[in-house]
Amino acid sequence: MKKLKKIFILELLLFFILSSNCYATDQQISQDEILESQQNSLNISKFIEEANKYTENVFDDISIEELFNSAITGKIDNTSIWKKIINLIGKEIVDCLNVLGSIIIIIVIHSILRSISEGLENKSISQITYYVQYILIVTLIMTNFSDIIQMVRTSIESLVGFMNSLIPILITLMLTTGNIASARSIRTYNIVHHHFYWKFHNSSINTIYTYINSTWNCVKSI
Amino acid sequence: MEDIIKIVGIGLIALIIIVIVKQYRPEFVLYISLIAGALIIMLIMNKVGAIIELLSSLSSKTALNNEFLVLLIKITGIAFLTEFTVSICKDTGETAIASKVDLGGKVLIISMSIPIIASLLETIIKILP
Repeated sequence: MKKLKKIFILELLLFFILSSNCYATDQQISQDEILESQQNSLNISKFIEEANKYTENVFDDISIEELFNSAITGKIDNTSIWKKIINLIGKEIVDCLNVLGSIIIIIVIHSILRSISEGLENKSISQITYYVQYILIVTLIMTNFSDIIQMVRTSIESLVGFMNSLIPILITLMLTTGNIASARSIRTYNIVHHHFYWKFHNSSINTIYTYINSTWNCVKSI
Repeated sequence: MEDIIKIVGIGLIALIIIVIVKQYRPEFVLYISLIAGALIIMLIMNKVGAIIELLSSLSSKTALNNEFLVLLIKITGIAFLTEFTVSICKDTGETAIASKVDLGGKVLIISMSIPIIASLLETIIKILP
């Protein structure tokens, strides 16, 4: 009980000593000027430049700056973003179907050639031709697979870069608007630790998965 | 329907001639089987050409490079000719020559498929970091 009283009195003293005075003015300041001054003090323009680097291949006609400004003033236009996302998914699926069709045609060609060369009496020669055709099919499938892995790698890299540039701004904004608890719950140590771990074990899918997990947790906690 | 009758007819007639000629001049057996084989191959040349055209038209629709298909058809042709010669040699009893021709055919097939294996290795190396 005594300790609680001491803490209470100390808090009251601090509250009265450390408070600052606030005055209202007659001056008419427009909303745009306020936004600009906030942006300059928090280095938001630098973040927008960096973010544009990551999204310029994907979102051509939506700029991050417009999105940001419209989000600040409260008018968020979600429909265009959703349309863009669905367009991207559809394009990827169509490309995938093309590749699938070409693989099926290649396998048909291989079966025709194999049926011709299997009629030979000599087992070893027919086996050799079969294996040569098999290597060709495997090569074609491998090229598609390597394209996919390249795409996944670049997208994960840009995701990581975007998140890295987003986190400081995010925490700063959260602190300035007062959500200290949310800012603490992002677990910055976890993210930085996973970032370095990912750089050292670049080819391990496990770390990529755990990194994606941690960024997803971060996004969920917003 | 007519083509199979022609092929079967040539085969049976060659067989009968060989059985008859073997008693008098055994050295002509080789020539008769060679000629019969060549006749049969000439008969099916048209059909083989049509199949190859079908394959190339299929492959032009996909991303498959045309020279790989040409390579595959050449390899199939090498295999077939090697088989032909090996079986004729074995028929006349010269298994040594047959095995040498066999070995030559296998080496040629592998040497023709070197670009395919090289492209496979290249693709695998591209995946590795």
